[in-house]
Order: sequence, then C-alpha cells, then structure tokens
Amino acid sequence: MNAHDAANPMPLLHAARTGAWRGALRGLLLAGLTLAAMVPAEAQAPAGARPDPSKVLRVSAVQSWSAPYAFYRDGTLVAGINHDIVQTLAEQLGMSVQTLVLPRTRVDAAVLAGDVDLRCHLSRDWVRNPEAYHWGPPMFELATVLTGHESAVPITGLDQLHRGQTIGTVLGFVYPALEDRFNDGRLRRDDTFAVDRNLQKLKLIRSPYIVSDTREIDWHLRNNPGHLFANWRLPLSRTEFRCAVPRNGRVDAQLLLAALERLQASGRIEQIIKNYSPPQPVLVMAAQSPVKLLSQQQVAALFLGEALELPGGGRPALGSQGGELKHEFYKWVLEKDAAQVKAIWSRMTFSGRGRAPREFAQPAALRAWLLSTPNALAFMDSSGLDPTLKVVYMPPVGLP
Amino acid sequence: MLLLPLLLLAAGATSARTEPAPEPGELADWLKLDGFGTLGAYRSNDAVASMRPDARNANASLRDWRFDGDSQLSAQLTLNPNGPLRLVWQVLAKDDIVLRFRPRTEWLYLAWEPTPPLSLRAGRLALPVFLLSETRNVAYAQTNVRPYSSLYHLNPISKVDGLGAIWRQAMGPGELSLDAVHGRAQVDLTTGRVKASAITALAAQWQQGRWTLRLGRSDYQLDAQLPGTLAQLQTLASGATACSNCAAVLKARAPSQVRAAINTLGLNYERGAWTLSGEWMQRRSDSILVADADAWYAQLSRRLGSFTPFVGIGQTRFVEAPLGFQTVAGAPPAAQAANAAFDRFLQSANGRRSWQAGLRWDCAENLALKFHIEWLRNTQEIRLGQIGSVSYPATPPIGNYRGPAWDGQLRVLSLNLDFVF
Repeated sequence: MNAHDAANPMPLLHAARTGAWRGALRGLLLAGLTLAAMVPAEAQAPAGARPDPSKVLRVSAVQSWSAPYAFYRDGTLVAGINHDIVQTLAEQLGMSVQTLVLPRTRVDAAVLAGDVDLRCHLSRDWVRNPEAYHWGPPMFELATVLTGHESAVPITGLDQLHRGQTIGTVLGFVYPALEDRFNDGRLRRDDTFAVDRNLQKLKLIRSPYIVSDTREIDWHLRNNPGHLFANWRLPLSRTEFRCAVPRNGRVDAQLLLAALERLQASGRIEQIIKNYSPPQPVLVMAAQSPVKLLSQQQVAALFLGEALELPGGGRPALGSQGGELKHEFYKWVLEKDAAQVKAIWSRMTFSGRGRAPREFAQPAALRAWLLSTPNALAFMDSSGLDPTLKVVYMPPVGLP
Repeated sequence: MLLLPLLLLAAGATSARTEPAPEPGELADWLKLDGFGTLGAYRSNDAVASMRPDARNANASLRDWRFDGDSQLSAQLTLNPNGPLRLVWQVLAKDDIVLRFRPRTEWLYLAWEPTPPLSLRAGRLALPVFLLSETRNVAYAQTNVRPYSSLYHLNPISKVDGLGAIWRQAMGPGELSLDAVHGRAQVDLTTGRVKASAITALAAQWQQGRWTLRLGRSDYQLDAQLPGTLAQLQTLASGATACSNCAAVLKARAPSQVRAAINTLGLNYERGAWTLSGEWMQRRSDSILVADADAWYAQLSRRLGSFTPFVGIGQTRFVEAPLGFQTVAGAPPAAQAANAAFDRFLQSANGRRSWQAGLRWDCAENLALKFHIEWLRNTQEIRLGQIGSVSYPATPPIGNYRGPAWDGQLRVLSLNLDFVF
C-alpha cells in the first residue's frame, strides 16, 4: 500500500522535469512537508457562494500522498496525478471538486459517514471492506520495490536480509509482501509519517533499505541529484491504480463509473502520468534467471546486436516495451536514436544475423513473454515491475 | 517439403510453452515477416549519356524522370526466428534487365547455430564481398540512397547457391567476425549469361568501439556465355581490321573461362554524430572480359537530429594493360586507328569519378526520405561507348554514333523514400 505526503505548488509541476525549476521545487517541497503535517483534516470548500450540492464531487485525499501523485500547498491538494485525474473526471461531468484532505486513518470513517463520493489511488487489497465500493476500471500499474543506500549490500531476494534488518516504511502503510516478515521479527519497520521523509531517510542512512513506489522513487531521484540511492531494485508487489465509488455516496455510481471508463479509454490518463512521471526504463529478466546485474556496455552490446550471448552463456531473446520508453532507452543506454537503432537492426534482420527486439504494447504481454521465453530480457517502465521479474540493469534516473 | 517446417517447429518447441498472444506485426512466435522497400525517382541531366542507379536496371534516364531505378519491394519470412535452426526466405521485386519487376528469391537458406558464435548456412546466401553486401538493397539501413556504384557495380554477383559459415567471437576489447561462403551462381544478361562454377569468399571483420575494419577476398571461376561479345572478338581475331596479332592476343587475353579475384578493404568510424566510412577494392582476372580495376569511395556524414547530411567521393579506374593489337603492313591508316580503338575499348577504360552530396531525413521511425545529387565524370574514355550504370553511344569505328559528343560529365538527382516493416 502506498500513500503520499508532500506539498508543492501546481504551476511548477510541468516544469518539474527541467533543471531550472528543480531547486525551487525542492525548496517548496521541504517547506510543504512541514505544512503538510499541520493540515487540518477538514473539507476544503471553494471560496464564494455555496455550490449546488448535486454538482459537487466530494473526493478524499490522503495527507501522506506524495509526489508525483499529489502536491499540497497550504494543506490544499493543488496538483499531481491523483489531482488531475479527479479534476478531469469532474470536468467531463460538469461538476466541481471538493477535496477532503484526511489522515490515512480517517478516510474509512469519512466514507462510512457518507462524506465521500469518490476515492482514487486505491486497490481492493488496500481497504478493509472492498464491498463497500463500486470499483472503477484499472487505470495504470503501481509497483512497490525495495531498494537501498549505495553502501548497502545489494540483494536479489528478501532472504538475503539478515534477521531484524530495519526497513524504511511509512506509518500506517501495509506492505503485503513484507507483512509476514514484520510480524515474525525477521524484519523491522522504521516508520516515518510521509513518503518523502522515508526516501530522505536513505540519504541519512537511518535505514539502509527502504520500500516505496517506483514513481515516487523516480520523482525523488530526479529532484535530488545528490541522492545516495543504489542502482538496484527488488520488486515486491504490483497492483492496479483504481478509483472507487462508495456505495453510500450521493453521486450516481453508474454515472461516475461510466465517466471513469471513458476517461480510461480516452488515453488522457497516460498523458497525465507522463506530465508528472516520464517513463523510466529498467531492464528485466525472469526472477529465476541466473543473470546478475549487467553493465551499460553489456546492455548496449546485446541491444545493438554486437553480443550474441548472455554473460554466463545462453542465446538472448530481446524484447521491449514500445512508445516513448523505447526512445528513452535507446537514447540514454544505447546512445542512439530510434532511427539509428532501426537501421542497425534492419541490417541484422535482412542479413539473417538476428532479429530486432520483440516489441510489446502492453506491459502484461511483455511480462508473460519474459516468463515463458528462456533467456528473455526486455526493458520496461519501472511501474511494470513485479516479483516474478528481476532488474538486471537500470540507467541512472533523470538523465538530462 | 512438409518435413522441414515440422523439424523447425520441433527445434523451437522449447520456447513454445505458454506463449503470450502475438503482438500486432508478429505472425507467431515461430514465424516472422519483415520487409523493406523504396519508392525512388531520379533524373540525369545529359542528352547524350544516360544513367541508371543499378547496373541491372532495364532502363536509364536520359534527361527524364524515372521511377524504376531504385524502386523495390522485398519481404522476408523467417521460420523459427528465435531457434538455433531457422529458415530465411527473402523475395525481392526490383527492376532487372531480364526479370523486370518479377519477384525473385534473393536469399533462401537454412541456418543452424550449434553455439551462438557459430552459424552454418546452406542454400542461397549473400556473397560477402563488400561492407554492405548482405544489405545492399536495404536502402533504409544506409545513409546514402544506394551503395557506391564505383565499387558495387564491379561485382554483379550478389548471391550464391552453396554453403556458408559465420563465426563471431569477442576477443579482448573487440569482436572478430569471419564469414566464409562457397558456392556457385549465374548472372543473366540480355546478351547471354555468366556462370560462376565456383566462388569462394572470405571476409574478416574487426569491430572495436567506434571502429569497424573489414578485409575481404573472393575468388571466381567464371564461364562467360556471351555469344554476341564472343562473336565480335572472333571478328577481330579473323583479321577483319587487318590486325596481325589479334587472334593470338585474344586467345591469351580474352578466354571465356575466366579466373578472377576481388580484394576489399573497408572501414567505418563513428565519433559522436559523425560517421566516416570508406571501401577500397581491387579486381584482377586473367581475361579482359572481366577487366582489371581498382576502385574506392569515402563518405562523411553527420547526424543533426532527424537529419543526416552527407558528402562522398568515389572513383573507379580500369588498369587493364593494353592488348597491343598490331596492324599488317600496308593496311590503310583507318585500320590502324580501328585496331587502336578496339584495343582501348577492350581495356574497358570506363573509369570515372563521382562526387555526391545528400540529405537523409528520418521522417518517421520506419521511414527515411533522401535527397541526393551526384556528379559523375568519366576520367578515362568518353568516345568509345559504354553500357552500364553510365551509358553513352560509341562513335566509329566501335559504333555508328555521329551525334553531339558527350563531354564526359553527368549530373543525377534522386529522391527516394525508404521504408522497413
């Protein structure tokens, strides 16, 4: 389970990927963290005349949500993936949004009280009573990973952690892949009340290992160039981002669910995600593969057809996720553009010397191929990671 | 024939367990279809000499726009593309002097890779003579509109029916690749046929960082079944031009059973956005039917986003020694001039130099639009007539052309759209 605590002004968001704004963003972010702790758990009604209640969509927001999902300013949710999804949905329905910023522990009570019409950034596994909601369609994937300080011993499985190892976590969050180990003492939680603080903890080596969402980590690394994160990730779980309509809400559930379906089908969700969280390629293989971490030179040699064997032996089967992610990978890892790579693989293909990486539009299809094909390796967005996969290479996050 | 696909399927069975549904563009995990093509237009500017992009094109441009030069469409089917045993079948439709646009099998071979560094092949294979031999038709994979004619037109044999082996091995900081082929081939012409009863080619390529260096050697045993050409030589040998030694010279210098060899050296150097590439070749034979020649080219290109401007220069020079035809004493001066002209003509002294400039625009991931201009200048002969990538009529005594003389220069514009799928 994930949530986020952060604050940041919306106008800076679209500039968040540019270096010029990073300093300002970081400063405001830190200021916002302090403010976020003081946010009163009360409804944020728009100023002015009271709007028609039938045209108001009451949406819950969790204080501990963090960038890139949520940005708070003075306790108000002003931007982020979650914010934009809800705003876009409301615009489609001709409604205004009334956001209830609450501590994580008080959201369920607000739903029970009938104060909430819509919850987002939710999974069926994250609520005690999923039957209390009408569930919208899966919108995109969320991956939770374990990572560490650059001085921490890299691990490829949880069993490699010594008994009682401290893991950086967020207060009130449930981590299904780790709960058993927390409960029996094999691992120990080191809670902070916000995702950002958990990520910053790694820099201070308060916890040599932390657990977090991949987009949150990537956003943190892009905006903290001096970070001390290690260049490995251990996938722990994958879930689907959904919105859900409480059964006791006052807005027609079918109306909202149909609007969510339309929103999902329109491609607008992908655009919103891209605005805040550009694709972050990672090179993965099936978790049981004997291949360990690869160097950038080894990866480039494989994907440019210069190496015919995997380190340790075996004929590689290459794959890739399509779209912008592919271009990012070509640019930063292979140091080529798409046309150059296409020309290289055209030479390989039409001379019968090899076949270009097999391309997949959907992460699910790519994962299935990786698991069913011997020696398959492919690059995909870090949000598509799950425990059946292992990361064998990841380029530095946030390259210019 | 049914057995082969079944064997291939069995070979790939290990990877055919719980396959995900094929993505669009994938026929199946065991079958892959790829293709490439070109929509090309070109125009030469001269009224006497014509130009064709490929020496095997049926037609040439003589101050007119033509669309049949580089235009082509090819499809390649690969059976069991991920397995150690696979079948590759490539079909090409491109204007040809004999076949015109009828599709023909360019490659059809069975490849077996007992270990990843080694690939053994049997069937119709690419003849590894030049840097771009394996992909000389895949224009999308090249910066230029087409391989440099200064070299590539000197060897019209691009494929053989036979056996081949490719061995690639990382060695220290680089990789060595050896490509060997042995087989036979035939080249059909409108005037006959050249049969190669034995061709052996070996190419060694060293790749290290930004550098690629390639050395090649190929040997040919040819049978020139060219009735028209041989009849003309017979006419000379019979003394029709009052030649006193033509019979003996032609018997020694123009056997129809030819032994030839081609040596090549190629390099490619990439530094950032810049690429420098070049090739040199030397062709030697024991017959004037395959005249001795040296050729080279060099090309410099720079990537600027999706645009790649390039410039290049190439040269072909025929180095066949004079035949030394002698005229009988007392024959008219015209006979002596004719023998001298035929001597020069048979040296195939059609050397030329080419300057090129162009721009490649990668307008989409699978599309490249290319603008290209080439200046050609014959550096050896401009009167004796020539038929090939550059053609011009022969004046007497070789031919009957009496029109305006060619100044030896030619300019060609090309606009091509290359694609792969």
